[in-house]
Amino acid sequence: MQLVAWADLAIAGALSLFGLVLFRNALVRRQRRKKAGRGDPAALIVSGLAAVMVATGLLLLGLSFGIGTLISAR
Amino acid sequence: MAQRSLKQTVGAVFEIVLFGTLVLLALFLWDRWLLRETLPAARRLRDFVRIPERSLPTPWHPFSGPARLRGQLWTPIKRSTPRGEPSALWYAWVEDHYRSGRNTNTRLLCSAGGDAQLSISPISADGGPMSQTAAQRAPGIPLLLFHRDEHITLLKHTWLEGVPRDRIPLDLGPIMSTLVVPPAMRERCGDKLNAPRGTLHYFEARVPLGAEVVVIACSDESGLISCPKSLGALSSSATGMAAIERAYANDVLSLSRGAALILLISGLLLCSSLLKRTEADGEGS
Repeated sequence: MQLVAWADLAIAGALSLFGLVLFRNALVRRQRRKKAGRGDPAALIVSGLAAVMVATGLLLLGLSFGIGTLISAR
Repeated sequence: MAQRSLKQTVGAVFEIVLFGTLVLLALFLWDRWLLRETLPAARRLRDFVRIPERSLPTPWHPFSGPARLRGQLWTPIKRSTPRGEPSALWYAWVEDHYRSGRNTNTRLLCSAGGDAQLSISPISADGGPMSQTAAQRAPGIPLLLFHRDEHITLLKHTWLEGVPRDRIPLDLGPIMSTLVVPPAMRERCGDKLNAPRGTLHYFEARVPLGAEVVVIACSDESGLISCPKSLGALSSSATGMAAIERAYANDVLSLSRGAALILLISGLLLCSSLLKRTEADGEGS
């Protein structure tokens, strides 16, 4: 199993890492506001977008591994 | 107070536009990129990788479907590169590398090549591909892989290099590069080299006469031809078709990488702006 290019790991890693950091920040803020008895739609949007970023990163990584394995199988 | 509310409005508009762009981009990518392009391209790449290997039929008779063939490349023409290296197949070009502000730009000034009347013959059993000259060998099977209306792409072995699926890729191994343009090339190019903006760089790729090559091709009575939809490839590299397959894979993934980078940058901008602005709002209220 191998990647098509290491650039894919770098891009997917950055997407997933920043996505997770944003998701965590949004989650912490939502909890804080919840305790204060207020809603936080912005944090909800951010956590959704962060989840999309993580998913895209994983998808890119999966594609790169899948295609890399395909071409190295011969 | 009025200034703050203007700032807030601008921030909100920016977020809405960015969010809308991201949603449209995501829909476009899902439909166009993943379902219509990437997955079919990955399937085509799988089919390309799985093209069966077969030996060159002697005497010649056409075979069905694409095949991966190994043989020695010949030409009856006495052919040599501008540097005087005897070759079966060669391409050479001159680039002008010049500075424009902080950037270094490259422009192609002139190119030439010798790729007519190629033939491929089975690898000799004595294992001495270079031991015989073209005249001593039996005529091989005509190689007409890129001699009709096909477009070729010469692999330059650069980082993340891709090859579009409708091109015939040629991997002639490492490309020789020098700052000295051979006189034969200067003669061919004529006036084109007279006024360079920067430094001239000469590049040359070649396949020696009788060198072992791997070809992906279909066949007809005339010889080896490209398959429908310009499927075909030629590699003289020691690693066979590996570099070409990687270039195809890079082409499949290039759009995904671009989209992922756009998502990374715009997502970070949008999220940090949204969190920052609404945090300030929360404190202010």
